Amino acid sequence: MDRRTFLIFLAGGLLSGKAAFSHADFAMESEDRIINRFLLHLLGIEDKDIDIYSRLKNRVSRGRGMQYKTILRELELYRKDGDIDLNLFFSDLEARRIKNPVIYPMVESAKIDAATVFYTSKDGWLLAGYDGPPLKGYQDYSVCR
Amino acid sequence: MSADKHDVIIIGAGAGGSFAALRLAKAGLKVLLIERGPRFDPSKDYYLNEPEWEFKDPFEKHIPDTYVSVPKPLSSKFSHIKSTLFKNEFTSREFSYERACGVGGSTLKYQAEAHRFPPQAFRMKSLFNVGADWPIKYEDIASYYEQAEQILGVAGTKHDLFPKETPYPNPPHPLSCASQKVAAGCKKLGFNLVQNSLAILSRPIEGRPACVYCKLCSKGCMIGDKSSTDVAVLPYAEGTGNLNLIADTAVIKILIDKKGKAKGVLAVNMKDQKEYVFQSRAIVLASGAIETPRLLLNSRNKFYPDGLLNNNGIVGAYLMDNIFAAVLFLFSEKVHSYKGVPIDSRVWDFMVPKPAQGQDRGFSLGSAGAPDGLIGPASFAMKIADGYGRKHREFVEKYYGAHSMVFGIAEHLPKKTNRVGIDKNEKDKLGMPKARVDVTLDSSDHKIIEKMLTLCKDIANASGAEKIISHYTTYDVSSATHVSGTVRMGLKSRESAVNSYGQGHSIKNLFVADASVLPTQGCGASPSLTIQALALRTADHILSEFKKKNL
Repeated sequence: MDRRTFLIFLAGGLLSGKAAFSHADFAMESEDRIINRFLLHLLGIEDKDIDIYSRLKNRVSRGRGMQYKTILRELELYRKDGDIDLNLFFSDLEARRIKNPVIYPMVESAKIDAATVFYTSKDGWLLAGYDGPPLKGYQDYSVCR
Repeated sequence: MSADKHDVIIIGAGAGGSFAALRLAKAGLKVLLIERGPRFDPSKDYYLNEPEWEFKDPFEKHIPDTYVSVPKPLSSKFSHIKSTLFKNEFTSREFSYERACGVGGSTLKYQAEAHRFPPQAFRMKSLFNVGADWPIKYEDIASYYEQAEQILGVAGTKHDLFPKETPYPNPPHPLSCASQKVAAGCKKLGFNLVQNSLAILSRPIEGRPACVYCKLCSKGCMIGDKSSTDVAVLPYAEGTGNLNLIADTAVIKILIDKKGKAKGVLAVNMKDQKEYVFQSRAIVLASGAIETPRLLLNSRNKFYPDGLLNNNGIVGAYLMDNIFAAVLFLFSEKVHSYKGVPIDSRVWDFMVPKPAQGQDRGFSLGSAGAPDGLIGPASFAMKIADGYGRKHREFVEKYYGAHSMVFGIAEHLPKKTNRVGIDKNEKDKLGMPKARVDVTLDSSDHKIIEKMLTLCKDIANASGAEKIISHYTTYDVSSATHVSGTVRMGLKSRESAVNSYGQGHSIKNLFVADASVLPTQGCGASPSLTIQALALRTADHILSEFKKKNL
């Protein structure tokens, strides 16, 4: 192999590796976005800019994280014209038409996760009509000692 | 830790132990107060100013694993009163001890109700042929109730059922919006919902502020308006210079001398696991109705092979559990039910048993607004708001803050077969055998739960509830906050372990100053003020005994 051929092979290898990495980035980001949309839909939140999943991802155990992969695989079955039909998914869920039985408890777990994250945030408090933590700060008060 | 001999060792810095320590230290005795749990710092250890406060409990990790419960089958005859509030269905009942462990004891997380027991509670056997008679009457303890109320700064209003000579130290807390509606509903039914008497300040006293109505007494009061004993009592005891308070130290044995008298305790520091021996002339047990009998039974020796004070098998017997029913409902409008004190009001109309009408014991009702565990929006969304999507969101938007609870609490009548023993197999992490709790609710308990549940539903409907969404009863879900009776007081040693001063019949320098000594549960009143009043009385008797050189 001459030097020119070697450089062509090297460039091709680098470019395909970068492409593969970019594709993986795109695929992961897309999965996170799908799960976040799912969680927003689960709680009935209409503001699509709210990011629940990023906060949730750091808190759940590895096992719990795998549940979201399972939900994602189920959601993929509802992909139509490039987009996932969450309305149909939830309609099937409520009518118990989803064949995979583990989805039901997993969605309940996801609801708990999502409610925990959302309703301990300002967005959630606003929705619920709640004015935030019971006390504003320890330093505001004094205690007799 | 110093091994100097003290006049008195008190085991447990809770409701009773703190009051006994205060009285004895103020009188000049050298007191050692030993507490298994830590001393909490509200500025660091409580979480009520954090966004995720709902899911943080400062006390949970400090509660030791020291008992096992014997599961009991549920009676199918009363399956209609099983709880619907929880997602899990329970197939048996297991005793669940609700407590905090630390300086302040369960007052750290209690909801600060400060009730006297009504006079009839002391004579249940004579008057109604149920339960037991106390060796004292209401009049014997009335002055101690007054003193305890003054020390705690109780906020309340006088009621005929609880004879009282002077007004409460503080004005009562106002009813919340939710309770005002419930009061109107009660009135329609012919009941009276009245302001509760609470060990929560309604105005500033001695550097402690008035309550800000965050409703979260059970997660530790960050500002000191709740009169938990770590805030309202122990600083004054320590200020005398006569109190040595040791936290993070568990007593594992009471030591007995060659004459069969208590001489000291063997204790273990929870941090370094080192053992220490402390000596004193008198010992007061104040660790609560599970731990006190556990320690007495585990301290058996050649003088007392069945455990201390247990010559007649009485220690651990007559355990009384919580008998409770509650209904959760929604108003059609938001009433900020997550604000206020936890329990601002009570209906005392049922405190006198009416056997002819099927009421074999006293009970009371109350209004709680949003109950513990459902106060914050995240808990509400997770546990109450069903469904998904828009339906779920709209439910939270509409009903969070419109949810409210009405409850009933009855006394559990004492039965010898309900008891605390020592488990043969399980030990705690210090190697001390665990307590074994064996308690069964019988059909009379179920009937009173049924009656209270019906009344709660009637009140909810009369108060304008849009919907009753669930109920909870201790038929299947135990939540034992008022557990009592296991080292009961009495005149005769074959029926009791201690006398009316909490002094051991068989060991005269061993005293008990906690819920263990109560022969009955007070007709549906909360027991903490009675425990505290009795502790003052016990301390006065100890002082008298010292004066007479009996100790």
